[in-house]
Amino acid sequence: MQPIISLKNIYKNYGSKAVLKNINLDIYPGQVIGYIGPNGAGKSTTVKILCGLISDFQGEAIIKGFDVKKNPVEVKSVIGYVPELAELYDVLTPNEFLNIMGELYNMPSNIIEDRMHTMLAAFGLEGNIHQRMDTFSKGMKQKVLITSGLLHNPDIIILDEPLSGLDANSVIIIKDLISKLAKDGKTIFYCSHMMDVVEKVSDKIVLINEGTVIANGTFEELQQQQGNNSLENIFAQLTSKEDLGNAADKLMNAFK
Amino acid sequence: MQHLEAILTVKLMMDDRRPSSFHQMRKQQHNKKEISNATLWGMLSSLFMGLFYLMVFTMSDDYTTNLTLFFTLFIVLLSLTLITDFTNVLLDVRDNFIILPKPVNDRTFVLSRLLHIIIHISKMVLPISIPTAVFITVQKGFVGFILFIPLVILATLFTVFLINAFYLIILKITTPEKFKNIISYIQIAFAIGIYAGWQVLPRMIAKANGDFNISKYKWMKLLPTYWFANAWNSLYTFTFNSTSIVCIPLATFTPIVLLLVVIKYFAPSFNQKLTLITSGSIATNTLTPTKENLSKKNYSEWWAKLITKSGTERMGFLFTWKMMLRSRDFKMKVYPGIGYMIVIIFVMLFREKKVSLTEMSAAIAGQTSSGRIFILLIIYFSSLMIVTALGGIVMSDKYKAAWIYFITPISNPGEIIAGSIKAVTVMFFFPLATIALVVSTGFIGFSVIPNMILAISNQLFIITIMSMSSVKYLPFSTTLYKPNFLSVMKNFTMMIIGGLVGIIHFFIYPYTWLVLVLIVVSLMATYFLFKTISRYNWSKIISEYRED
Repeated sequence: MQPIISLKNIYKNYGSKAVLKNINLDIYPGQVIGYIGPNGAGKSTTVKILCGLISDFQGEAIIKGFDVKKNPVEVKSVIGYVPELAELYDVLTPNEFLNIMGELYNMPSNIIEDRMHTMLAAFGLEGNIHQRMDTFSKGMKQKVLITSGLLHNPDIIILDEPLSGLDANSVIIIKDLISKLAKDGKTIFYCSHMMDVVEKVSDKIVLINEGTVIANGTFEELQQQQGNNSLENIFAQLTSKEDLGNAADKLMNAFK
Repeated sequence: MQHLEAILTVKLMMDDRRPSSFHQMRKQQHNKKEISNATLWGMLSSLFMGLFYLMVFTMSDDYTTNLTLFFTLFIVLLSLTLITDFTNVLLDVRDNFIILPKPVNDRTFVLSRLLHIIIHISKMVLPISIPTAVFITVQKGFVGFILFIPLVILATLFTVFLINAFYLIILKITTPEKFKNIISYIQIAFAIGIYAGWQVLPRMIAKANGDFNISKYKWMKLLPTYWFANAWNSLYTFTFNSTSIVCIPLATFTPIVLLLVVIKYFAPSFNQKLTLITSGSIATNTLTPTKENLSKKNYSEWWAKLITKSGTERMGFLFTWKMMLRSRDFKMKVYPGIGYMIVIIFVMLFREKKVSLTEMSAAIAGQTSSGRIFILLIIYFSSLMIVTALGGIVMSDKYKAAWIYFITPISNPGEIIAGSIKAVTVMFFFPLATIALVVSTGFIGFSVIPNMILAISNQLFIITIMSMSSVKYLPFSTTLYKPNFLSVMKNFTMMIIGGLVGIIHFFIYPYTWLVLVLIVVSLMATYFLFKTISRYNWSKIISEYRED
């Protein structure tokens, strides 16, 4: 089976700083990939290369057979991106915003209307469809963002901290949604800091630190390598430079 | 004592770093450098303004008149500056979150607030009044100076009262949300008003010729500023008449009394409402569901269906339309510019002596060149207006939301731009063109129609040409608009082309058949140029994905 996403020898520098160093990843259709790493490791950069937001990099990114640099338009039509708490033109209503997104994805307007109503109703936002988003809470905006990323029924869904700002009930909805989308054959690329969620939801876990992939396997494989720990502990073992217990001790020392 | 010092130091430091609205309008386009001397610059600019106030003394020899004008200017301009500063200084709502929860003595707290207010206001009042004070000392001696100072203080108190009252009233009428919009509108109206006054006042002063005496107008006595001026005058000259016996106590006591009344009347809800203004949104899930606003929607949708291709172009049109209608940022940038244009037009109109209606009609019918100029100018001037608006749709404080352009499969971004240009044209140019057409036909008759239509279609042509050179950004997608040499040259060339078109029109004005031919030509040219814009692909677009 051919990988649906293939990253080959990706290097990316911001000025003199190397953010991605030789990233190689193959992702197969229907997989849920949990992409984790400390802040500044290069997660967002990888994601943005996948989505076609950054085209200035070395290496190859092939998505569904299309090279991101040569055929960005084809790539963008099959990818759905849900950014984390992104800025919105919030003088618009969800109706207007989602209509715009749908148009930009070349969707027929009746499908946009139907899908928009169904999805927003599932999120409990049916009554707020015609309300300007500058009155929305963080969670409401995030729900609209999630809808905008899924509206065109993409085969590949890239989620950047999708649970940010959501209350516990909505988190349950999204976790359920991710597994159902995967069963439906969609490929999901999921960045998060919430280790417990990643543990449960992902088929494969990719751990990136300082621009390189330092772990790539199922949760069970990682456990075999690092000892039977929770993902949180495995993460700490692989990425933190010093004993985290010490940091808390040092803080307490400030009061003595 | 320690607390007092700490609180005041921090507040004054914050004042130093806070950009005033003046700063914001200018610095926005250049750099994000930190501002650390805001206080100093503020005082310098107040001093500069104070120098302008000296102009009032050229109005007449009567000091009551001059001082009335001075105090009026003083109160008006001070109010305007303080209106925006109100929630930062006079009633700093952040104190609720930061200082009050800590163990600070109540008295210290009240005192710190009071002192901060006094310092802040003095920073503005002192520089403004220094030039005038000096002038008065020179002209009228030390006594005049001594009398002037307390009156300035009283005028300041009066201003503070005015602003408090204003806030109280407005908050009783509308919600904190609409409040921000109202303040913006007031600022816009004010900017335009100042500009209009700037143009008009020198002419009025020249007309007055120095014998403008305010005491001649009975109704002036109701003006509070008159009381201040009169009080000064009568105390200085030590002559009293019935008017001044009333004015002196009025000037002295009204500000203090009114201010106390307003402060006592400060319900706790006032403080709460102010907190809502600054903290922004009142988001809850209990927002009542609203129905779509159908009537407004129909107008823009009707136009969209009429002149845009369905799909991306139509989306660009409707998106830009809605953003123009709702974005406060856009309104603050564009409406003042448009206001200035209107002021300029009116000033030019009435620069000559009053023109009678029949004279104008004859002139406009093409007999005289000045008439032709007048009629053409109205239409061609609107290109300046459109340029302002076109500039406004490119930038936005929400520019980060432009990620939607880069994540979606758009192959022809030019279509979005084309749609947005059409939206600008419909919103700003169409009403003006209609009015001009109707008015001129009404005055002159149908003979003027061909030329008007040519002017209109030429305008469309000019708009399109200007867009080609300047609007290479996707709508609402940037924050910096860096004019480099190339783009300045391009803009200049476009303006020259526009001018040439105007001049050619001027010469062919009387030849109707030629006019009709050229209408067709210019419409076709516009159409083809527009198609070119629609076909822009990504290589021509300057907007790019930014995260900062």
